[in-house]
Amino acid sequence: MNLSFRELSAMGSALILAVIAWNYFPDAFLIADGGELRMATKSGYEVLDKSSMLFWFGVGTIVTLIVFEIIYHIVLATRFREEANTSADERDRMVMSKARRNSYYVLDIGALFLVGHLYLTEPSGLMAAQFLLLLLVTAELVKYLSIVVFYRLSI
Amino acid sequence: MARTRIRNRVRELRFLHGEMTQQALAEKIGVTRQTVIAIENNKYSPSLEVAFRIAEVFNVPLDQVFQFAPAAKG
Repeated sequence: MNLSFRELSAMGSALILAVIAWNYFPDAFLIADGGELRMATKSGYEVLDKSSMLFWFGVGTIVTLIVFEIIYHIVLATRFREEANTSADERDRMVMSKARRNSYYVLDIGALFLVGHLYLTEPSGLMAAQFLLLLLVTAELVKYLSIVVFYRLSI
Repeated sequence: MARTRIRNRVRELRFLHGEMTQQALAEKIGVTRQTVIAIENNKYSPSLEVAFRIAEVFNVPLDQVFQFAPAAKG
C-alpha cells in the first residue's frame, strides 16, 4: 500500500488523538461526575479541588498530545522530505475541504444532541465541559479519518 | 473505487513526450505526483486550469487529452 505523506500524517494524528482521548476521558468523566475527592493526610483527609485537578490533567494531556504530534511529524517529514515541503495542490485542498465539511456535520449534529442532553440531565459545569470536549475530539477524528478515506477512494 | 466519466490519455502522452516522469509532469502543471497518478487512473478530474496546463505541456488540444464518456443508456 503506497501511502502519501498527507495520508500518513492524517492517520498518525488520528491514532495519537484516539489513544490520548482514550486515556483522558474515562478519568476526566470520573473526576467530573464523582463525588467529593479526598486525599489522605496525616491529620485525616483533605478535600481536593476537582476543577483544579481537571484543569491540570487537561493541560498535561494537551502537552502530551502536542509532543507526540511534533515527534511523529518530524519523523514523517524526515522520511518524506520532498513531499513534506510541497505545498498542498488543488486535490489536497479539495480533500481537506470535504473532510472539514464532514467534521462540521459531526460538530453540528453533536452540538444539537449535546444541548438536548444538557437540558434534560442538567449536569455540572465540569461534566458539560467534558461532553463538549469529547464532541470536539470526535469531530477532529472524523476529519482525519475522512482525509484518509478520500485519498484512498479518490474524490 | 470512485471513477470519473472523464477519460484521459495523460499516461500515453507522457510516454510519447520523451517518457516524461509523473514527477516532471506534476512540476510542470503545479500539482503533486499523487495527483498526477490519480488523474491517470481516472480517479480524479482536474480543474479546468490544470487540464489546460496539461494540454499545453503536451502541445495538443484539450480534447486530445481528455474525453467525456457518455452515460450508459438503459
